[in-house]
Amino acid sequence: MNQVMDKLKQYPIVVVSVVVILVCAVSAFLRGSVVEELTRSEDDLTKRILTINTNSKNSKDLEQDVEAVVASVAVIEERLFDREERSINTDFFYSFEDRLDVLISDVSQLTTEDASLIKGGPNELKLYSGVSYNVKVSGSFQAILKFLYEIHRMEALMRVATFDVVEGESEGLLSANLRVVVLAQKE
Amino acid sequence: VLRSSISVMEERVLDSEAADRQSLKESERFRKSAQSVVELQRFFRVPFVAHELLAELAGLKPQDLIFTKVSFSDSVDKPKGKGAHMSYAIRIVGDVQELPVLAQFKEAVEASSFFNPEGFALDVDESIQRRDAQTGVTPFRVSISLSPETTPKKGGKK
Repeated sequence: MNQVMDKLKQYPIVVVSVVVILVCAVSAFLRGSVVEELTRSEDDLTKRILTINTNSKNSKDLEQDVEAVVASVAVIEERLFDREERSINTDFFYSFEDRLDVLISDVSQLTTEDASLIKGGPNELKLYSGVSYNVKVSGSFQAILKFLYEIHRMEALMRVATFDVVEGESEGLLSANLRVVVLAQKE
Repeated sequence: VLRSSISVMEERVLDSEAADRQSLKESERFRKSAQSVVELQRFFRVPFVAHELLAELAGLKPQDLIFTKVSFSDSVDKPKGKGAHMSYAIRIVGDVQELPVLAQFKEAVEASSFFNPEGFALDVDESIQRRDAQTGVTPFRVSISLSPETTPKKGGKK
């Protein structure tokens, strides 16, 4: 013990320095994990703030956009066919006779769906479905062209998927066999 | 210093969290609604509209060419290892007196921008049957096929 005291008296600065260094080292070791944790928290918060800022930037005018798209969806949905309303749907096609100079000889709702719109198809629909109709119509070239155009611009959402147009029995008359696909409610 | 910085940041997050949740909710509502519009676009995804197709054919048809049947059909192809895609076919049956008129029609179809929609490769093929010795009329068939293009077309905007 006396020897230690002698050394302390002999080299006071060195001994005090060693003690201070030791205390600092122990303190740094103990605080190291706390600093690390705080830094991690700071990083997480920085990321969160960045995300919030990005979300805020991206949501500029979002409310108006949502209202606009919701209104569009409402318009789409009120135009959908209900496949169970067979007589109403069939009459829809026959009603073209009242407005155009065509004769519609047959309208039949097909049980098979359009292959492009079903699961695995290139234009697969998940929210809606497509109902197909065979429509047989005859008239002049101009009248049939007008009929096709009317189908295209109808409020109901439909398109002519395939057609066959052949010369009719009377001169100047054509006969057309169409497959019309209509956007309908999901089954 | 670190603790005070963290506390300031936490306060900032807390203040903006309600607005952020609302933005996310709106964003989700937009995504769901937009899906309907995407489906509508998918439903109408075709290279031709029927009345425009017939009108275009009528416009390209030389006067001396007679069409007795025009048909338009689609088909779903599912090549191995690739996604399903649509192909389209137009078949024209008719009569012609002078065969060069048919060649002229074929060239007109090939050159028409209407029959060269983006993303599709066009193939026009004709077949000719035996000429009627008495009338001199030759029955013909023209097949116009559109299949998805495997490599993008060269050229484009200059």
